[in-house]
Amino acid sequence: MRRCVVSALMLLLLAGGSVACGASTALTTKYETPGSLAGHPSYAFAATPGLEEQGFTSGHLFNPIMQRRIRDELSKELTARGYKEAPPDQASLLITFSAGGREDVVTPGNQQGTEVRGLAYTVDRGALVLHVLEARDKNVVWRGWGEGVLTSSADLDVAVRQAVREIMKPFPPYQS
Amino acid sequence: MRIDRRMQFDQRVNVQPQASVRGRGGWSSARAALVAGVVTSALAGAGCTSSPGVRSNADWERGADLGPSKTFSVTRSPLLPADITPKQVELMGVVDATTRSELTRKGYHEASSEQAELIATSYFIKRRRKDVMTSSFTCTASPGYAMTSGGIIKAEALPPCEESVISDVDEGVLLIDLYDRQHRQLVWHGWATARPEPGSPPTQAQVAQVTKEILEHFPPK
Repeated sequence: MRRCVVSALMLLLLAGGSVACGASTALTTKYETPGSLAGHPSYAFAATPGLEEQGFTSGHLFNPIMQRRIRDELSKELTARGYKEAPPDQASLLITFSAGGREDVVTPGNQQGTEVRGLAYTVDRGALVLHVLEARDKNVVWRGWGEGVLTSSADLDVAVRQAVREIMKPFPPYQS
Repeated sequence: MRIDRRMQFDQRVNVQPQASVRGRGGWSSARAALVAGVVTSALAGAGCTSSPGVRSNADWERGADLGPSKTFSVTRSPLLPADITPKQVELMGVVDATTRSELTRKGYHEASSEQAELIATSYFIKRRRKDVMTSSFTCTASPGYAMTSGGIIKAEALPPCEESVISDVDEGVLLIDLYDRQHRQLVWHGWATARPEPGSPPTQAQVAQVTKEILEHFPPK
């Protein structure tokens, strides 16, 4: 089997006040809930900025194909929870997301520097960040972050959609 | 040189160099050439393609109809740098010509950009990456080492020694995009990466080969 470029998209949910973590064999997720989602029945997607956090930067993989994929899977997850998509000027929630990659060097014992003992290697990591904002005041009410590494044989479509689902697992159903 | 570095690193053991291998992400005897980000083929290493040192892959819109019944046109990408050099223009011309011939060979029909169903564009980027070189040695015990360690250690009982050197390297990426003209959407995104050997500009043949390797992923299977 040919070795292909490792794409880097994983999901890591960052948790603020309450840290909740999830993990599968390939990704780690966390989330935070700085606000309340109650009483917000509708959502719209806002502009998707590039990711520039914790060393992750958006690259060519975060293209319109990827953005549509993430948006599509998010819509499925939100619809399943009772939220309805609406035009941006009518929605009560705005959804934004961004993704990026980062190359890490793994060394025995986490040695630093340009010369290390033992076998070192590089690994590509990816991150996907989801923000849910109140449309009225643009305050973040829910935030999810996922991070991990995909194997070179991973199907990007399958992996990213799975990652979205993992991040969204703790997202609550609509409550009036 | 590597032996000298090893001796300085640990002067208490006698070392016998066995092999020098690249860690993941590098090439053992790469002779990849890259000019201004245009990906070229390279020697050694493994990849998704038959060109050593070149790795290619693709992403696409699942469910999009990308079959050979489509017509295509090749146009200049707006993502090419404004200050593209004449040499780069020449090489991107090779990419365009190879794209035309490959799509035609696969059964697609060229049409004008106003009428084609698929619009093909290509561009390049350059990014800084890490390269890891690992050297493996057999550590043999000297009497002094065994004595200072507080015991008698047989030479053959010592594990292999390894040392990794981490450096920065420029990597070029050649990207080919296919757009659905009617829906104004990107439907296929292919790319290849390679690392240049300084002072070795790519040849047209190398650029053509890398282009073919990207397009091996089209249409998606």
